[in-house]
Amino acid sequence: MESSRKQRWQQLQSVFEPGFKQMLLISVLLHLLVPILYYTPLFPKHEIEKPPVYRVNLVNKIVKNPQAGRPEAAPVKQKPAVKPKPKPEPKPAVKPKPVPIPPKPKPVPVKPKPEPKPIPPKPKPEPKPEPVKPKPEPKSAPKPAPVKKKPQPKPAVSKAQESALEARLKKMRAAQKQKASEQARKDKLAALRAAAIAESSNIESPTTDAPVGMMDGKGDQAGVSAVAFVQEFIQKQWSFSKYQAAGSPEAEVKLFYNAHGTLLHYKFLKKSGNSVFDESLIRAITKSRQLSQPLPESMEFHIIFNLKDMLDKS
Amino acid sequence: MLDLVLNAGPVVKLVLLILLYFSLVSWAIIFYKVSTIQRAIKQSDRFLDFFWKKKRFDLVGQGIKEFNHSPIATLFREGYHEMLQLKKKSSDSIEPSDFSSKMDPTEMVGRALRRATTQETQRLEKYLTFLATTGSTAPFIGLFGTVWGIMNSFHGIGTTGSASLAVVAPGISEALIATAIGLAAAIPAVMGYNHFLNKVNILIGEMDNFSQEFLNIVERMERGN
Repeated sequence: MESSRKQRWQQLQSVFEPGFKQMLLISVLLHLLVPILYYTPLFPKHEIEKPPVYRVNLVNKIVKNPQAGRPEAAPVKQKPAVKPKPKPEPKPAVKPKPVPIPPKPKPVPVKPKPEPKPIPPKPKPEPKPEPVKPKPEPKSAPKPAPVKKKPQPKPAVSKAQESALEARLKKMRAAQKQKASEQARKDKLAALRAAAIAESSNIESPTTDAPVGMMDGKGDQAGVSAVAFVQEFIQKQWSFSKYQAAGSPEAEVKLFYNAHGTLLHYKFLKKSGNSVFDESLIRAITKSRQLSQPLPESMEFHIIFNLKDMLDKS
Repeated sequence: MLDLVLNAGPVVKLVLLILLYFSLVSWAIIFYKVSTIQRAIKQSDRFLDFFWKKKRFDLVGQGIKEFNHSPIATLFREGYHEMLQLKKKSSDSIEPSDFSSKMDPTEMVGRALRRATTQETQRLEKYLTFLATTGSTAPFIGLFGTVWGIMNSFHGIGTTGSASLAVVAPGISEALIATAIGLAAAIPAVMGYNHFLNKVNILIGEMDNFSQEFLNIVERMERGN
């Protein structure tokens, strides 16, 4: 009896009664379970990973591997191929001029070679900023530079080699004429470009002179990604009353287009569950059965249409 | 959610650790008390049935080992032990002294029962004070963490000079998690405390009733003698 009393007294004094440690362990496990459960699918996260939203200028060329750039940049169609060639031409024309110019630098007329060097650098700095905008600037830049330099050389050289100068003057005049026509062309281009920029001005972008491409583009082709193009095209055909919108239903559609940009067939991989939205998508897809441009090849697209994203865009 | 905790400042983290400790221990106590008090109530019920069926103290005393976790069985053991001691004393004493002849068995058994009741009550109520402490202080500790966190975040606003929602919101949400965890620790503790206190009070009532019955039986036996 005494021993049992003592035992009970000790039990009362002890921090851990027999069995309490087990319960403590259970409690620890239970507390560990809470964060584990939190990260399981039992508690779905409400944050929806939003796909990148592009506003694609539907005039831009469709490519398979777009380069980095702005999808809605001003469209510069076939010119890119033509312009690179004009560039090399102006340069040879400019170079002969520098050779006669050497006299200008009064001190040593014998140094024709060192001078050509200083002149080439000038045309170069201008082309450099322009390479970003492949088409419009290349042409205009090389020419304005030579013109500025020519007027200066004239007064200095007039005494020394008049005949050579006259020949050069003729050349220069020809060049000026060429430049004028070039200028006219450039103005036209600029106007076109301004119109394109105005068209896309409702889209905020930090850089207006970025090349045509996709923001996450990794390829080397100037143009917009085919998927983004098709998605934007369908979006343009899509109409939906925002008063019918509830939640953010999502539908996944598989579309097959041939190389001519004709829809061969489409399939809903996942319906959104909102029949009004699904029907609006079907209407938009049937309206987009012919794209405005051919595709690089016949392609298959998986596109997820999210009502909320689409309403935000439209 | 986890980032909120990891991004919190050192004081808020300390507060969260303290709250985690409170929560861990109070849940352990809740589990422990659920098992012990349930067992005590069940065994006491069974013991009372057994006691009234047997009617004889010696028979009950033989079968008492089954009811180790019942506080009423402990009362019986203490009372019966006291009775046996008295009997032993009176039969052993060759030369009856004035002291032993004046002994009132009912009184002595009654004292033994009261002592046992006190001890059992203490045993049943053990750890419950921790639940009460958690219930009353955890929200305040959490609130302290929140106030501290908000203080810091406002200080940050002052130094950056920007009061946009993007600057204010993360600091406040980090701070508020302390109150949330404080409440999460306190609510089960308060509920558990009230529940167990009620059960312990029921058991104390049962023990008192049993003590009275036991004393009645002892007195009847004494008068019968």
